[in-house]
Amino acid sequence: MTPAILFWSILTAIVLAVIAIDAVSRHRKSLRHAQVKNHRHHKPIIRMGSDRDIIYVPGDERADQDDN
Amino acid sequence: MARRFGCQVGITVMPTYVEIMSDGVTARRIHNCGINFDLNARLSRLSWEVADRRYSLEQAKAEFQKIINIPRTNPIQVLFQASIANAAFCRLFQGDAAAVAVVFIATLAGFRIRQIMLDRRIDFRLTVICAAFVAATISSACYLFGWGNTPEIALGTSVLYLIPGVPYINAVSDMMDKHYLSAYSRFMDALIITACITIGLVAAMFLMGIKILS
Repeated sequence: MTPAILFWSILTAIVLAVIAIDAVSRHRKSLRHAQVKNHRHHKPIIRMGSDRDIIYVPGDERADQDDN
Repeated sequence: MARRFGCQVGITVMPTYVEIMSDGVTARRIHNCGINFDLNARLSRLSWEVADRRYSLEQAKAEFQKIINIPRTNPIQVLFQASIANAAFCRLFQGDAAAVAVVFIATLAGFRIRQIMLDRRIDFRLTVICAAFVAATISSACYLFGWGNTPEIALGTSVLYLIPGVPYINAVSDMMDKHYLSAYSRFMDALIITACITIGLVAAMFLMGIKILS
């Protein structure tokens, strides 16, 4: 195996690994988004009394910030 | 469009901002959002519809909102379409079946790397260098493994998807209309991207030990 073929193989493997890792992380992210959406859809807790209704979902940081 | 509404307008387009002179001067920063040919075509059609007096100002505004809210084409679809287009380029330059197949794979990898890096907001010039390097290195497989009879065409066409065709065309178009500043800035922008492609391609050739000229 010449150095050029070795380098080609290593680079191709790195590129494939980067693409695969990116695809897996995107898939996980979309799953997490879907879970949050689903959770929000089924279990909203609506608090009345402030200037606007706040939908609080446990574990949702943005909703926590709104609440504060 | 401005003439149709009885206005006098001057526009200076720079790579980072656009300046519009009417009653006063308004400058707006241009956000780097990549080239979207579908959006370009729709906006161009809208501008002609307005200029030809088919739309009123309100209708034009509504249509504009509708156009900018159209979601972008799926990146995976763009990835495959660009790869097929680049492989077709290779065939157009008399590349054989092995070269076409290798260019398709090389473009697929290079374009995906470009998409990933741009998603992570990495500098566009660095992105172009990396994408060109990856595509050129993968397409050099024709040289390394002796696939097909046109390895030089595979290597040359593997980076064509990065060529900044739109900025070059716009630069010439601006020059024709005597917008020399815009033309120069667009031309320099395109020239820098072309230099980045060259760096990636030459680095790959150097590391793979490919000497076409000797």
